[in-house]
Amino acid sequence: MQNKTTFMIAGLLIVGAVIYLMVSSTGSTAQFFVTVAELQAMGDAAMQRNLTVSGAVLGESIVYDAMAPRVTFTILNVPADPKEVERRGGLAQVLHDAVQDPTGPRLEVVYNNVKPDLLQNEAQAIVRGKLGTDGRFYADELLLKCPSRYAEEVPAQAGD
Amino acid sequence: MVGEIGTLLIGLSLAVALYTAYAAWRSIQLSAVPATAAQGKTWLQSAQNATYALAGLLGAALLVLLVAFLTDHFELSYVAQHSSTVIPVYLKISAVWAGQEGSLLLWCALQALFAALSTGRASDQARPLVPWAMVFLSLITAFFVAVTLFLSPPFTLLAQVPLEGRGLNPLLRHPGMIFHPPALYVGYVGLAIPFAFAMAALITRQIKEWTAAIHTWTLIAWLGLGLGLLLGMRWAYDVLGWGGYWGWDPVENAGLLPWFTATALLHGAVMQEEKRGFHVWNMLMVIFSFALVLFGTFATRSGMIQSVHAYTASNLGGYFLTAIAVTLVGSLALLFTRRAVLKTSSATVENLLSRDGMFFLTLALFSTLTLSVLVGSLLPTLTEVFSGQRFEAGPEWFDRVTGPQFAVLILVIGLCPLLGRGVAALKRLQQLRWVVIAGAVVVPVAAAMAGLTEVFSLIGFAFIGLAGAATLAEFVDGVITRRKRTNEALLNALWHLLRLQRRKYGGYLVHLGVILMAIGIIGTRMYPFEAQTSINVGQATTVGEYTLIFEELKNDFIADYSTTWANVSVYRGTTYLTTLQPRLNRYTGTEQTITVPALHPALHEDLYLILSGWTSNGETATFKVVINVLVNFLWLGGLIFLAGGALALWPRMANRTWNIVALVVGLFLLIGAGWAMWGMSHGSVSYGGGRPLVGQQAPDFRLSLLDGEMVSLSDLRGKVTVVNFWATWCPSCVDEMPDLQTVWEAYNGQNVTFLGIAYQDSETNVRSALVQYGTTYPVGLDTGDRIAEQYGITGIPETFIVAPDGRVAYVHVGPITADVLSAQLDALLKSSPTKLPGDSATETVADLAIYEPTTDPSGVVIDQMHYFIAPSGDTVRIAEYYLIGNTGDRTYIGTQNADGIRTTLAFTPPAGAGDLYFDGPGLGERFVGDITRFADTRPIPPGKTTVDVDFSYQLPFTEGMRIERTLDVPIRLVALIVSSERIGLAGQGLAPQGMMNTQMGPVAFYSAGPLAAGEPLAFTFVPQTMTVTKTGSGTTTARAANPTRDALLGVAALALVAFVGYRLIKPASVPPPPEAARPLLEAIAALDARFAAGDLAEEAYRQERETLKQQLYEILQE
Repeated sequence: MQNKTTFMIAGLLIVGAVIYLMVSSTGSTAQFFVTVAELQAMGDAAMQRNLTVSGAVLGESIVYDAMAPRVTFTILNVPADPKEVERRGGLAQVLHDAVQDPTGPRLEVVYNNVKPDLLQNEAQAIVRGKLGTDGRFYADELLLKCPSRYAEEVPAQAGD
Repeated sequence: MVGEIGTLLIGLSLAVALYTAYAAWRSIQLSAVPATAAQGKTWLQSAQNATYALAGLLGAALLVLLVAFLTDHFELSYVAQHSSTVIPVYLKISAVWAGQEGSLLLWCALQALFAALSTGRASDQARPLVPWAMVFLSLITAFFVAVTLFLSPPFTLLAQVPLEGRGLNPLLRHPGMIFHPPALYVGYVGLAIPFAFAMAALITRQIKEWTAAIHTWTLIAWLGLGLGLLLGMRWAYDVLGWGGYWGWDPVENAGLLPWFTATALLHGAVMQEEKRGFHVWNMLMVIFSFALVLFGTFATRSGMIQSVHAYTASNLGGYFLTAIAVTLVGSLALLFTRRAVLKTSSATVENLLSRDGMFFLTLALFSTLTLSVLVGSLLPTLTEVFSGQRFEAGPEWFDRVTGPQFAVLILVIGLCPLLGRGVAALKRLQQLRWVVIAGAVVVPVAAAMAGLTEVFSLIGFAFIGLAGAATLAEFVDGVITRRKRTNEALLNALWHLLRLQRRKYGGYLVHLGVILMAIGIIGTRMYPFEAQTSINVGQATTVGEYTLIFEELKNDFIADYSTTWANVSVYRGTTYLTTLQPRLNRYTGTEQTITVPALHPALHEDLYLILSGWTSNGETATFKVVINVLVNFLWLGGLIFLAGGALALWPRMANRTWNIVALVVGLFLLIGAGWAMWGMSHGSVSYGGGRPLVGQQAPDFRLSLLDGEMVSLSDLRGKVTVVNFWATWCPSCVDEMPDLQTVWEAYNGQNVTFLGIAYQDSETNVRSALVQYGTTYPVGLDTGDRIAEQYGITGIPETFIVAPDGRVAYVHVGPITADVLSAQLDALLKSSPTKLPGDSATETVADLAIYEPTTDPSGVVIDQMHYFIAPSGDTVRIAEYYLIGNTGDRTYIGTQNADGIRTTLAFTPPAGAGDLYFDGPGLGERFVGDITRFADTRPIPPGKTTVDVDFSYQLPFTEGMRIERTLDVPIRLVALIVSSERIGLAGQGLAPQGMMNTQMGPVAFYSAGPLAAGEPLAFTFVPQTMTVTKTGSGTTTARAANPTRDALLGVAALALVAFVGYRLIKPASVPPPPEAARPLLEAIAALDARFAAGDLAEEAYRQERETLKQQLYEILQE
């Protein structure tokens, strides 16, 4: 009986420790996920926070300085809710519409790194980083999803 | 036709799958009643046959798709989208499963095959479970076939047949892609087998039988997932070009999650076989494994999870979500109703520090790991539900949460073989305590001595040392015990040990692999190193302990893409390691670019180089350098892991021959995988010994000269030898030939030899080139590129100067000019008499000497600063030419501006300047800024005149206007040249040096300096007072004579008049030569014509031409 209790205590300790790790890591390293419109609604509260912003890449805004290396580009608001995306005709359509809309919320992104191969017009960009005081978003990480023909094939091989 | 056949086959498959389920169910019904048992048997046989038919049909459908790919049937939409006629056959094979449709068909075919084999070849013990297992497996197969047929059909026809397919996604063009998806699918479909048998066992309450049925299939699935994950990691490392191998991406996690539960299941099954309970836990693991397979499929196709490489949202999500719900609710409910059956008997509960306790911890940790990764993958969705905000878990989150759990797992791996049960629980631990303590001390100490001193990593290394020592002790102990008994040779004993107890030692091998992988994971995750650097052609940069020299940029066109690569020589200290060729491929049509990294692998770290970009003129390239510490332990551990898994899986066979065949095949595969990782080049090319650096011994060679003589470099000891690699097909080589000849003529007779080495050239071409350019120094052909290889030549021209002691004194990449070459020779000749062979290397300043970088500008000095001022009407064009040196012993790399770009010297043209012109790369290339102020990005290496800057601009001109320039570094000497008879200069510290007539008309010379840093140079335009003097320089000055300075100024001025004047006047018309020169020019032209017509012997022609040339010079210098 005593042994059984030891097992349970060990098990509970492990589970407790893991839950603690998950909660504390969520507080300190997890990224707050927002759309471009939500980011702008946050105002000053957005400064100096770890943020993940998702939006549609405006192709004509991409400026690449290979010597720095540094990419700057503008992303436009796309809704985060998959249902909303579905309702508007799918991700490709939503991205396309966002890029066509001259009045929608937009965000200038600065990414001090090499220009990724997939960075192109109407790609979905997911940027992680912080909003600078100049209103530009300084990304540490840039993930790209591309609604073009290759988008679906890459994942098939990448780990699925 | 192909399309119809394929669709028909899939349609038939669906019918057969449903029939199988029905027939199996019918047989269960009939067998339950003794009267109809015989009928039940017939139905079961029919169902069994149907499983084979199903596997055959789906296999045929897959084969049809494969044939369609191999024969370019572009009428199929799927083929047209994923293949083209130009891709090689092996890629056409992998293209079959490159997209969703084909991968689902592969999934179906494998599922059917596994279902047929697992039910048809079930052991006698598991036989009673087969009918129900058949029902479940058929339904699962039917589900996937239905999804394929109705939602994602691979045989859809196009209305218009394209002539060419769109080609395979360049990212997937990797041999590993043939095996990666099938391996993962083996894992996914394999996990359906234990699930189906588990459900059958629960329904029929035959728990014991279940354990026997699942072992092999769980192991196959687990090994398939492991292989798939490892291949995926290696593919990411080789192809994705971001430097890493695992990014905690939801799609990667989708493959990892079922692997965790399958691992837990394998361990739980051992306990169950040893009758130690764990029944409920194992059932849960089976159910969750299968549910996680469905979840992975759902997650990657639903668009719910944000991922770099998730499938675009498709309509499959809902169906998979339903399937997951049905699976979980149904199986958990069934488990609950059968809980009484699962209650184990009287296994005594052990102490936690025992074998049972370790298995308990293993299962607990794999469960919490599964939970952690699942929570991490779903965090955005979970936090949105609970708090309304979306939080995302990045790699850091996963590392922090799973890291400690993996560490404890490694500790458990170490403790497990040391612990027993009951009273013997701690016996072995006591016996081996010194071995494991030694392991736990030696490994972290070694790591700390190698510079890996992070506290948490040292704890990890201690666990690794402990686990490694304990696991190896198992092998050593096993071999010793066996040899005591059988007296076998060492290797024989090991072989028999592995052969006879393959599950036990296979398991330990897997543990050993995991321990090694842990070393690699700690190295790469806790000691990441990444740097970006931009280098000019021929220049060096230091990254970590490596020195990289950017040799050249090349490009080529291959099939459907163009490729650009950089040759980068890699040195550690001064030792040449290799030449890396990172590439960027651009695919035509899609304009997609793929970065292909280059690797220099070593046991302690990989140097991983990525070509990021380059300037349009190819002069400068940007590289991303990643150093992956200990990463090869990860790959090595992966191989051992796979070998252990294969050993555990290999069936017990009586036949000795088969065992040997298995061993040979297994070793062959392992060696093949090892070769693919470390034997293949991965963009690393070795050019002989690499280019010898300054101070190193020049490689000796023998060269057969065109005049028939044989010369070897060692014969030339005691002389300064200029070795020039060139070719007639290389324009810049031909350009430099007159310069070489000039220097040769000037130094011939001194202690200097020249050797021209023609590279990849023909004798006829070389001979005629020598005649054409009047080359008289010895030249020979480098047959077979032997010498070029010795000197690490990657492109020509290159020039080496070998000192009298046989060491390299100077290296020049690219065309060399007469003044650079003669300056180097002067330096060497001056020092050579004092040098004896065998003395230490001459410390000659050279382009390619490698220096430490510094950000301290104190050594930078402008050796000479030239202003060439050309007024014309109401504008004046000013050319500025700077010769910049560095008196320090480190390369000044400048300061970083707001954009993160390093710049050295900044220049500020006067206000109102326009029409800025650079000689060579200009703004946006070499310089940053605009016309009001721009800065140079080129670093300044130590030495005299190591960098020059040359630009000109236009100003509106008014008499009396004042120009003031300030530079923040000291200037040794300023020379100002005004090409005008009327306009002169006046200013503080400005000394007139005279006026002379040149080809361009009269020019006036002034000098100034030295100037301290920040001391301004100011002058005003005034009417000229000097007049042209006959001697040209220095006579009208009132200053005290300074012979050195005047001589220097004179030389510089003359060189400059020709140099800058040429450029400035270029757009305008060239002034005609003096009248007196005309007859001479005509005479030379006539002479050339006679020689060309063959009227004149070569010797006579040369003499005559030389005389005319001298006369012409004299006239021009008047």
